[in-house]
Amino acid sequence: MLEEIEDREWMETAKELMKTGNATPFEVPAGYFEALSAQLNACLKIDEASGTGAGFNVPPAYFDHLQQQISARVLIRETQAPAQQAFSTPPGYFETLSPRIFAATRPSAPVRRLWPLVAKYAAAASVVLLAGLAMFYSQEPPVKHSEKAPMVHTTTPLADQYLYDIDEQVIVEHVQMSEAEALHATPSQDEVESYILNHYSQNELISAL
Amino acid sequence: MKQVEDAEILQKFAQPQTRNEAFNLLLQKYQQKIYWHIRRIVIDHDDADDLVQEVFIKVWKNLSGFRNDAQLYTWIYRIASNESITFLNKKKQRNNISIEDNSVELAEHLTAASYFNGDKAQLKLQKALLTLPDKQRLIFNMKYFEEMKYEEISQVLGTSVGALKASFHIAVKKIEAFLLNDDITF
Repeated sequence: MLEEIEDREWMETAKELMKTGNATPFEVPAGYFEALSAQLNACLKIDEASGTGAGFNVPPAYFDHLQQQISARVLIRETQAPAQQAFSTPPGYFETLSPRIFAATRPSAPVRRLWPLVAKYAAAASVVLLAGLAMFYSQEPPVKHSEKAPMVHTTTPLADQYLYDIDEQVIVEHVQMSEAEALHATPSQDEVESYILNHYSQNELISAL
Repeated sequence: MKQVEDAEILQKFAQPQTRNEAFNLLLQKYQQKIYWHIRRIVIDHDDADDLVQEVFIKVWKNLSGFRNDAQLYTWIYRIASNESITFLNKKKQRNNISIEDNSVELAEHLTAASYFNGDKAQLKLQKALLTLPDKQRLIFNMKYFEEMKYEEISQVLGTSVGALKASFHIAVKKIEAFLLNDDITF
């Protein structure tokens, strides 16, 4: 009763709407409803034949743990997603990355040290050698007494003193003996051959033979 | 043809040997009502045809678990309403279109479809209906075209009677304003 009164109220306010009436303006293809029951039954049979899970099995208690597994995966995804978004790269980083990696893989020229390690040891050895020489020469040389007069070509006062100490006759004999040895020295076979070839022509040698 | 009572259908459906018979009785009783209910929401005949099949497959699968504390026809109407609204939402998401664009698309279906025989006034009314939100349009259809009572609509949609009345009155005002607007011509 109340609803009828309410209906009358809105019908009075919506006169334009009431003019159109509430008949359905839609149509269906001819014979649609006559075939609809058969069509729906056919759909049910198809649905039952191709029902989800028909012919397939799942492991025991699969569905008992499925919700837990899905929740765990969702949690993992959620924790991973913000971590990936939290990082960024400088602008154009990936555009230049490949060339830089490629350049880094090329063999570079060997780096040579300006002062190699061996030079240190060489320098140290030189210092030690110089020091040793300096010590050696700073000492007085030992005086040698020999029958033969030493061939001293020095003009140091010490050398002159040695020469004065040797008898003059001994020196003269030594010089004469050295010259004689030089004169009586026999030349080698090669020296003779080269001398002959240099000082005589071929014809002279043939006639002499 | 005498309509079978819902209780009889349910009783027969519970018996395996009369199950198919019960379902055929259910189809004969409700298929046209459910088709028109869906058709007024989705407009296109082919979409309505697909949805009718989906709805009755769901009814077949779930009827054994139906509880007698609700009426059978309100339960089937609820399935049909939910399926239709879900279908429209999916269509909007699939085509990535707004509510306004969806209304335009559905209005184009009205004139392009060969299964529409309404006059200019009815066409204008249908276009006015397409400007409403889907649920408000659903309420208007159930009240105005299917002449359902608020209590029945409330059982189908799970919305309070007061909210339904308010929604229906708002819809009537919007449609009346649309129909009175002479600038809209076809």
